[in-house]
Amino acid sequence: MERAGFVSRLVLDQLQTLQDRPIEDIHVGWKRLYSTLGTRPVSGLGPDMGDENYMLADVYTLTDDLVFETYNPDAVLSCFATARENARQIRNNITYEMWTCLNTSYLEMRDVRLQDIWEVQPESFLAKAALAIRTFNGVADSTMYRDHGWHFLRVGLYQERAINITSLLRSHINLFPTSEAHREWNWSSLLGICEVRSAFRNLHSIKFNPNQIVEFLFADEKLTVSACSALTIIQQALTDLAIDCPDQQTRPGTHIRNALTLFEDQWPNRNKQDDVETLDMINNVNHACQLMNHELEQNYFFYEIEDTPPT
Amino acid sequence: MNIQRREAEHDTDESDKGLFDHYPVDAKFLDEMFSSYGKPFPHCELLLNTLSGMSPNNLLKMQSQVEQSFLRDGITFSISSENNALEKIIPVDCLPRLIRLQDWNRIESGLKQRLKALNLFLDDVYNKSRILKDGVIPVDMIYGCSQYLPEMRGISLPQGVHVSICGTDLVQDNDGFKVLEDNLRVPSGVSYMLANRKAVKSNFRQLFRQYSVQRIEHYGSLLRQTLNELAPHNTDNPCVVILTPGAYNSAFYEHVFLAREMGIEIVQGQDLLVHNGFVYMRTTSGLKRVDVIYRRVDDTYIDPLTFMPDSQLGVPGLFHVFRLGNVAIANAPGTGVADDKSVYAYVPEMIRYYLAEEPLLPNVQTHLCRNPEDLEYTLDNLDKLVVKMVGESGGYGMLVGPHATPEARDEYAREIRKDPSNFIAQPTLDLSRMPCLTPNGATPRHVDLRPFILQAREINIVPGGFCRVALTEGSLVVNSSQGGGGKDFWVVVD
Repeated sequence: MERAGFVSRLVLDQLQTLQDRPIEDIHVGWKRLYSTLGTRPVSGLGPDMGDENYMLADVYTLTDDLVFETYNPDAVLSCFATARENARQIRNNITYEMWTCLNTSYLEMRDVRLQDIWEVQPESFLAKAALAIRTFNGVADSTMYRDHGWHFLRVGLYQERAINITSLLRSHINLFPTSEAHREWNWSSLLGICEVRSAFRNLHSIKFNPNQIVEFLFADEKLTVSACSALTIIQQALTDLAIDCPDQQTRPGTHIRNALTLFEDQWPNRNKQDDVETLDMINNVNHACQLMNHELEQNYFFYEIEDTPPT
Repeated sequence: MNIQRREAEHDTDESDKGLFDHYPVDAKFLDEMFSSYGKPFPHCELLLNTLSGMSPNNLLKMQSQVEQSFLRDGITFSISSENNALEKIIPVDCLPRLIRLQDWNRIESGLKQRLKALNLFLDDVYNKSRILKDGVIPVDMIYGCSQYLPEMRGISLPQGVHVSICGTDLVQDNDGFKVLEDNLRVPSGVSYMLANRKAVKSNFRQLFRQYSVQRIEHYGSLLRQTLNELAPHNTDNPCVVILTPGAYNSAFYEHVFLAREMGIEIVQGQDLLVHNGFVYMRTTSGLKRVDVIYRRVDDTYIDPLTFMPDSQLGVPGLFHVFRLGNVAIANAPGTGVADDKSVYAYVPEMIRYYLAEEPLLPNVQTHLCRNPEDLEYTLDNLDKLVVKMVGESGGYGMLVGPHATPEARDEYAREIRKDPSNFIAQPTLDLSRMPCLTPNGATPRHVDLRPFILQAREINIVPGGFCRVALTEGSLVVNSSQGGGGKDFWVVVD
């Protein structure tokens, strides 16, 4: 669900870009989107788009691929379908309300096709998906018992969030170095994708300083979508998990702890003008989250019998 | 006929036709709502009055809401088409089927009697085999039955209970209720019984109270209590799990539903392991010992070391632990020998033999083609009989003589002659009918009933069952795999 929300916001931002931005912004917008997702556009279309007409014609296909294509596992509808199938398999571990929320959202969306909404307002579909995701998260938060299921849900959600935000920051900085302050619109769009434009304005100003934005999205502890917040929440969830099973507590947390320690030591002292240093830190967090996943599986699901004496 | 339109109680639309204006009553079939003269039975009058007071539009809306509630709850199954898997709901009719409490009580007594005898039979046939030695049932019928498991010989189960969960199919005709078959392996459908109730109840709140409809919602806790009582070593708080073949099994919804209702874990074979003579479940907190397994996996799949070696669904070594008495399996392996279609014919004899009582619920008359006279009768009367293969279920491998072409009957006769002991024949049943909602108003459809009987220390039944309905006009086949659907079944205080 977290991925569905993230892809929705990326596509929504790109659709908005198409409305009134210069061709170059549209072009780099697609580049940022696909580089963030780590995939390539559907065959025959993509990064080397030529003239404006050609590019606008592509939009339909690319949007369809990112939102409705069932063979694309990152497509919004695919993410919903996968989340629903996963939920079906663990229905006795989640609440009835969570299942109903997810199932109802999926049933409402599954028969929609891009051709039905393209002429009217494709954004409304994505907004609906975003609302469904927020509702699902709220329902989970308010109905789930705080047991292992809940802790795993939090680990999964914030791991995905940390990976998404670091991937996005990495792609963005590669395309728009922080020294290029005149790229205000692109930095604003980055905040939009993360749904934190208002929070940033309230905290800082209407002037978009690239370094401030990177700091905000990566390191602000009060921002729930920041990478640093995600790491802290993951660490807490892993600690909560470990209370019940002290024999299994160490390994998955190691990567997160190391990443947090490194972050605390090095992030404040980095050379802010040097994007390479910043990108190193971002990559480090991204990598730690990927590694943690493997260790979680080994520790909690596929462990050897002799590792855990029967209770 | 004498069906009159009642004064509308709720909403009226003068342009609307009455729901029962064209409802046909055919004396050949027992109609559970109207007598053969078209008069409603007294206990159905309240329902009829309520339905007659609702506009067809509102009834169709109600039907749609019931279907929507199935979709919302995910009570669906997939049909694979060329490129896509279509998700369908189990068809459900929103009009309830009614039975009086006193009639239900008689059925309940008959079902309890039957399960008691079947468990005594299973305990006997896998131990002393008295019933075979006494010649009540042919020895070759049992030992030649594919469902008989020699591996079960000599295993004494606590309380002698082999079948803890039984789903008995009942049909009604002009002579009353009869047992069509016993499902003693992994009977399914109980989730639909409960889902039908949940979906339909909210549409008839007032009527439900007026009828004092007997509750069935405690089935989950009753099942949990039954499974708890099977736990070995008198464990206070036994660990019970439900073993499922996985998410692609057509009954997976039911497995998850029951796990949720009982507050137990749902596991697949790979989640369990055998260690030092006990079964353990892998949990995120380490291994946890399992006391009772409610398995929804067929016998031969439960343990690749004992039964089917290439089974991916079972747990290696499980049967050994079961033999040691360190884990209970419900239902026990090998119970299928008692619901074989040939053995079924002997259940009344089992009741007389073990309980010294007369059966309270009769069987449907059954001709065993293994007997020369029965074979001859069957072949001579194929156009009047329903012939079934003993090892098949779900309406497959069946010939409905009156509806079959002469060529199909000839072809089937050849199959019977090749292996007569593989076939039984029964008269074509005039299954009772009950009104169902269709776009043309209420129309009669044939119904059957599967109540669920639980046995551990004692036998329990919730007053209800999964009522299956043949939704195609004139059809007698109620199986969901062949166009059947469900209906809520109300036990009402008259």
